[in-house]
Amino acid sequence: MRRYIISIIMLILPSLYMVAESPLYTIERDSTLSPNERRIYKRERMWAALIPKHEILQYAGNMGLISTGVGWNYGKHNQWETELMLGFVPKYSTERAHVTITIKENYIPWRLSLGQSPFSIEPLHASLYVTSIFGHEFWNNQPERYPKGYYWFSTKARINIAIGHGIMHTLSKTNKFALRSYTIFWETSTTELDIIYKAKNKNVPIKDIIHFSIGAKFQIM
Amino acid sequence: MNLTLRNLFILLTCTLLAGCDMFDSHPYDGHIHGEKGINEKNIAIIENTCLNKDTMRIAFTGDTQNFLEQTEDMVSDINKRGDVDFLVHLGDFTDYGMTQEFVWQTDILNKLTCPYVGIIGNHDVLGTGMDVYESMFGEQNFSFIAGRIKFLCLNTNAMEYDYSNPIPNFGFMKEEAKADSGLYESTIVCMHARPGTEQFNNNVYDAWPYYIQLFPNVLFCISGHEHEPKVVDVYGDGMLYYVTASGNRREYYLFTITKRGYTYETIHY
Repeated sequence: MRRYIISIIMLILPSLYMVAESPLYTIERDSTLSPNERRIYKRERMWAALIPKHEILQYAGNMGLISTGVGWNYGKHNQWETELMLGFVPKYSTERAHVTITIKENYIPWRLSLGQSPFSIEPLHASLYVTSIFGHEFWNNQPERYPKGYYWFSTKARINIAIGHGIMHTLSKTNKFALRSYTIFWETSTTELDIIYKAKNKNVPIKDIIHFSIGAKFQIM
Repeated sequence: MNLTLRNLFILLTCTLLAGCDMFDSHPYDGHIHGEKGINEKNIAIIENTCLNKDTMRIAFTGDTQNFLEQTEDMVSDINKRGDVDFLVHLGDFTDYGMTQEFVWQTDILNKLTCPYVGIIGNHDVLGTGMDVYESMFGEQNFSFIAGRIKFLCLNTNAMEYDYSNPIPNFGFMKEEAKADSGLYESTIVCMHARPGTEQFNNNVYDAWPYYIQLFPNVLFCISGHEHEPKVVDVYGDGMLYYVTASGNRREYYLFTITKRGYTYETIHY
């Protein structure tokens, strides 16, 4: 648990600083303002950086059958994204349905606009995400009853890496949804245990260790 | 995006979603893209084909998790022999209890030309593994009668549970000792972890032989878990416990059981 809090803080804090300075959100520095007023504006700007900039809806990807959440964009060209999502895993053959929480870091280096159209291609989405599943049957570190080093892995958290593409549609400034844009994306992912399995079992087909996912992002700010 | 392109995109997405099982919700989701009810189905075949057999040839293996290539070769070897009546897998199909791991193993084992049964191992209990095992194989404790021998198959992975799930289930063993009288004369006890291993509830180490002796003519006990093959007279009372090798060792036991007793070989493949 402590590790997740630290990871979240490490991801969010620099993002806060970057978003505060990003062109998506600025407050002009009025020289007629007193030093105190300027400091209050700066505080407001720092806290405002916590406001999510986009919302996501995603299908599959080992983060639940369907997951939804919010994200923050930052970077000189908005190429970095941090997302926090909750997912729903149906019951299937288990005793009950489960909920997952995912923290995802995306790197989208290029957005190539298609001529005069409002569409852009994002040829690369590179992602790293950690998914944690809620439930008494899962743990991060083996319970105390086991001898030391009995189970080296976590049953609760999974590390995933993914690559994908996206198509962004920049909407007109007067669109009825009050969105800046929306993006349809798809990803291929794998987990750390999948990679270990493939390394130990050469004849496991690649299709068994990769997972597909599709989703949509809505740029709300 | 014009209307045709959008409709095409929606159609493509729906086809992709419907037809593709690579859209996974979670490694522990219990979404089984494979066979279910394996033990029940195979026990029916075993009990039928072995009903009046005087000689039976039974293969025993276990701990094939993470050794898929070796498991495939073992299946080929058993199929090539052609004279194996059935296989008993003593547990640990998976390393992490993940749904896909179970399916990988059963996809390979389903290629056996003879029937097989599976017992739950400690790794198979992890996460949602218990639920998946129960769905794919069946009850955690079960028995069947082949060639007038009762095969008692037990969940002995006590360290994975709290006391709400009695491991070993002495109540089940007592009932089994009373049931099916007249239908069998001998017994073989199969489990994943034998008495004395860290998984076993060694608090009842001394009580275990009492329940075993309720059964007529126990030929031997057999277990997996330790990965290293061995034969142990655990209690020093002549009751032998055979321990199977893990998949990486590329060997399995082949027991030949007749009315006079049994012999066994270690088959290397």
